[in-house]
Amino acid sequence: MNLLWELVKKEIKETFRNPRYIVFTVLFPLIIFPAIGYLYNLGFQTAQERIATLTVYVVDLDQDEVSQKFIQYLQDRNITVELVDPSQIDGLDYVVLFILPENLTESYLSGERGSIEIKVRIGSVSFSSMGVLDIGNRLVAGFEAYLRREAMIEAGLDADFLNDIFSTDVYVRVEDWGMELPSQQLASLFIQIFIMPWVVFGLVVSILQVSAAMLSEEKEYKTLETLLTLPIDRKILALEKIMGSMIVAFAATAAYAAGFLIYVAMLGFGTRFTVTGGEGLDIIEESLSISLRPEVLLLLTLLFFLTVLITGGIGLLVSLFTQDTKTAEGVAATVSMPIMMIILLGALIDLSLLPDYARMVYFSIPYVYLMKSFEYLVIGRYEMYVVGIIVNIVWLVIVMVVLAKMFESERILTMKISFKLGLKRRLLS
Amino acid sequence: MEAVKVENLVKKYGNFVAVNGISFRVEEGMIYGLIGPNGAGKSTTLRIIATLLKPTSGRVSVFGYDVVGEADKVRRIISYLPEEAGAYKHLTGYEYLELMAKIYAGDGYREYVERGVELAGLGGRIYSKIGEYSKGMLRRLLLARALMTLPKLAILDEPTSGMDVVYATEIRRMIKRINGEGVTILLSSHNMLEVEYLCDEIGIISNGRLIAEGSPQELKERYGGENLEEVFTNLVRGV
Repeated sequence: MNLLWELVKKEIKETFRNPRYIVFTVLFPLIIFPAIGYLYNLGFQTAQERIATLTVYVVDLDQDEVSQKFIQYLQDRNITVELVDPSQIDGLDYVVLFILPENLTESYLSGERGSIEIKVRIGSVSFSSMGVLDIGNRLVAGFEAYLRREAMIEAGLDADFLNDIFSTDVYVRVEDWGMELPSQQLASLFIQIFIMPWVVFGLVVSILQVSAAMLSEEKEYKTLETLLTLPIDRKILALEKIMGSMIVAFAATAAYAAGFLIYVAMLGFGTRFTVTGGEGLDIIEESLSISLRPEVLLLLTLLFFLTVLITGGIGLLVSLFTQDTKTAEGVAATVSMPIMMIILLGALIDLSLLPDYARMVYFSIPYVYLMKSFEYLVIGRYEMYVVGIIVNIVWLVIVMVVLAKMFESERILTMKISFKLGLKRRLLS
Repeated sequence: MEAVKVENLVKKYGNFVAVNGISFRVEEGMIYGLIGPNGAGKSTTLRIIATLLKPTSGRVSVFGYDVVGEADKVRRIISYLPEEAGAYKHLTGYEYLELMAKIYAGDGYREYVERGVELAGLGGRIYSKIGEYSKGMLRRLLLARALMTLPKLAILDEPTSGMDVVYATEIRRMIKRINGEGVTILLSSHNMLEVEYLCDEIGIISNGRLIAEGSPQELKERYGGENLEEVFTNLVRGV
């Protein structure tokens, strides 16, 4: 154990003293996610400020009751309105411009649909400019609701009731979960369930890359031959490599998760923004509380640990066929693609529609359980963690046996992958 | 006692025969040199003795331990320096020696490290990262690593490969000194003068076969020549 720890310490020093790893594995996710969040927020804020300080231009060709009411409606909602002449439109620096036609009031009074032309100007196509596109429509929709309400009141009707006759509560039964829950809560869960595959995939890619590089670096920098002649059990060497990659991967995952959480916090995840007809921004908070009992946390941690170990083992297997780091990372990236497909499959398709044998094959894949771990947590199917742990242990044994065999044979030195000629062994001496 | 015993050693890679029926013995305490042209099979032979490769046929033993069946025991008493060896470039020279010493000695590693630091002779640069070392400094560090544990057998593949005269001379002195402390040395080299200076016994390999064996003096007398270079040239030309 002492010897193993000494070797693992070597891996950690070698990795964390390498600026390349620090930049791409730790700093990159810590910088890129908050940066994206900041830019997104900046765009969103800019759009918000633009809406808040918006000056709406109106070409009033109607100059009658409806157009006057529309202008008043806008002013009552603290929107600055400027009336302009049609001849001024070309040189006008507007964001939203309404052209109210001559016969707007006449149409309204005679029960015909009037047509309002809305012109919107954006500087370029971006997130912030997208927020502006629908402002005109929303303001008109708000005005329509205002006119309806006024008409109802004139007719002696209960406008508040008629505008909102039914309240609806939607409940969704999820067969796979054996549960029924409110649609709003499910919508909130959906987002979080869809995020999990990406977190798992990020973890898989980073561990694959790191573990593949760990052995191929030994080959590239000519340290492997010395290592293999040292009085160390080859199984210890294989385990040392996996543990080394695991520790580095934990750091990468922590950085990835921290960066992602900052990103999520910056976007106000779990909070849904809706913009209603000229009334401003309404924020609907949807929070979900999940209790994590110690035994469940233990199972989840074990599942995570085993999945990470398997991935480290696969990364090492990949690196057996390569002689340098770049090739190893390239092959690891290629291997991560089918793993990504497997991980995303569970989020993209309805698994209950698959035939039994396909479901069995799917659930024999180790990554499935970590990917669905959040879902299992929500619905309390903790027995699936146990199943996942068993499946992961079986795969881990297979990977470790293959890896130990490879480490014990001279093929660890001579195997090489060639994209032109296929897999072959080459004489290296 | 026989430190190394190689009997009818054959190593094939597919149809290519790298080593073709080599036999030789190295007595304990001796410096034995394998010389031969590039691709003669020297490195493959050393790698088999160092337990890295398995023979296609034949038998190799180190201090009585079979290199295939008892590889773990062999690894405990040998130390191997490959021709193109590297070290972990983000560790310091000291950390590297410390790691290797711990692998061999566990808690009693300090004695090995002290010897390694002294053998490497890098002064304060021992605490610099290996990535900042020159080729000569790296080779000295690696040789110090190979010899600091005083293994029963040190296998050195081209120990002075690519080094300038000053470094090469220091390394040769180091090998002689450690041999004086009872370490059997098996080395390969292109440098005939080096081999003549260092080795008690020499085996000349060509095309995977051992074509001559003896002490430098015996070889000069047997095959004619002022020095080993002439002996080697005569032998390879079939004189």
